[in-house]
Amino acid sequence: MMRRPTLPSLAWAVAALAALLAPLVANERQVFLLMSILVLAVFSTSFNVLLGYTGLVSFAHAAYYGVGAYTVALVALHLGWSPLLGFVLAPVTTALVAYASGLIALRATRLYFALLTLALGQLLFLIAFQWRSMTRGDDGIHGIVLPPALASTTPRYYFILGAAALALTVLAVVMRSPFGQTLRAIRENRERTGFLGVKVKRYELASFTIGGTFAGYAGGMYAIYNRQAFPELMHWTTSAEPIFVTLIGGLSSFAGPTVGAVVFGLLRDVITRNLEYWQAVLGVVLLLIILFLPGGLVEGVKRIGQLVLGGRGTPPPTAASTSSPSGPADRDAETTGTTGGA
Amino acid sequence: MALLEVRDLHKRFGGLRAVDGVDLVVEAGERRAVIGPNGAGKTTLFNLITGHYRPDAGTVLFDGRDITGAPTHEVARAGIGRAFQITSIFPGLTVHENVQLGIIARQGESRRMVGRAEGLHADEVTAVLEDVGLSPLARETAGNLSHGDQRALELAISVAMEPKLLLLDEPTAGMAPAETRRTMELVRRIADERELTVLFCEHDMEVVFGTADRVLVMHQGRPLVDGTPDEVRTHPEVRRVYLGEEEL
Repeated sequence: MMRRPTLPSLAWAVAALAALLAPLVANERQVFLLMSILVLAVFSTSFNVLLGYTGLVSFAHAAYYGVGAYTVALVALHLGWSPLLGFVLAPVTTALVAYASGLIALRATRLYFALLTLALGQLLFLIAFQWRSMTRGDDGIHGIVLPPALASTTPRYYFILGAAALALTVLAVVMRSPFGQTLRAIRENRERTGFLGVKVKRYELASFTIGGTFAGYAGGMYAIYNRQAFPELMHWTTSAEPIFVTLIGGLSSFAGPTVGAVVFGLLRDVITRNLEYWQAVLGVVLLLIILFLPGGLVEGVKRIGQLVLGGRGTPPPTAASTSSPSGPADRDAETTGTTGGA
Repeated sequence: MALLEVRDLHKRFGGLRAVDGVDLVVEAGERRAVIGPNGAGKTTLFNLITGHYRPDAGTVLFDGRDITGAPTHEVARAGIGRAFQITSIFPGLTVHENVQLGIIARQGESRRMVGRAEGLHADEVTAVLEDVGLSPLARETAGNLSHGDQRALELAISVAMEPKLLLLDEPTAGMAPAETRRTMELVRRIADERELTVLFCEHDMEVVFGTADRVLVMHQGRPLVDGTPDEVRTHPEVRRVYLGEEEL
């Protein structure tokens, strides 16, 4: 089959180009804002592995983010290792922590699973908060010394950009694989997936571990760009951030959390500089999106695109013929005619 | 050798003996039906076979293996495909993706994390969809299909798994007569073409008599009669407990 560049891949290319050129026009404060957005994009996409792909709601995600950040901070503080080594270790330590806590949390399902993740996340938070000799407690660890190459803003930005690109690429590959498709099946119908011969719990644990690992990776990115780690990063309320971001962008597409992170990050920046009530504005924005664009911004843009292009640009041409108004509607009429009294 | 052999199966829920000493043998290639009024224990029996419930007593042998109380995914891997009484599909995915999942799982590719799922086994998916008459709807979101089409899709998912035994729990539940006829024709045709062994339960007698080679009649959790459709039809006990209200 011939492959034409699709609309999403075009959008990704434009975004990547913009991100590459940004330091040429942006000032230091804006470059820092972009780095925070990149970290948030990876953090939220890792969260969406659970929420959007597998249908799991976890409140422990911030804890893994924090474990990643602390990995960088602690190996620098106690062992004097380079933060870059810490950054490489961050996803490894987080994977272990996420796997172990996932084993416990996945003993339950649905609401009880969510509550267990809340408890486990808070437990990890408390360790960071209370173990002063190790973590300096709520003072946090500040002023991590980066290698000279990353000391100035622009190279640090490109490091963060590269790290984000790598993470998003890996996650995109995994999520569009047969494994990713199986996770979507679990989200859609857990019981039916079991009857396909899939051991559902094992896949949920894998999803939980992958999501947690990349949350830790995002935490490592945070510790590099912001040169600090502190307990608040791990608090369960931090887990709400990727939820907001994902809802804004849309949880049904891979790009959703990244789009959401850009919108969320810019919005927060503009509003907090001009207004005191950022949380209130965020609340209103979320309310409007959930009420009027339940699929998030990506879904909204897709729908507008379909209206403008009249259905072209979306999958192969055969799709247009079956999704045209006449096809399925006719069939419905035919079957409802015979279903009648049932 | 029998493909499925259920021996003296028991399951109680509190004081209710839902399944109370059922024996059932299904030979390879056979089309086997279980009938009985509502509450006779048909669905419970199916849930015991597929590992959804663990029986209190008795054994389930499948293909020479003891699968009594085995977890669902192992039962499925052993070769039992199941369609549910309440339609169970993947509503948010396309019709094509629904069937593809059955093939991916059968091939043991569910754990593969590289390579795109899109386009995988496209020819086989198309063939299965053509078989059940859903190919015009391949790109449609499964949740938007009509009830009858969703039942056909569910059958397609199970067929795509190439099971040794296909279990259908009231395949025509909630269907009007015309749709029921079409669905059973589909089941018969698919079973013939793919040489499937089918075990299904129904409370509609006519559906069963047109399709099954042998019929087990259940009443209040107990087996009442086991025989050919003709034997069952004329059996006085069956007429008393089951057919009494329906004139034959």
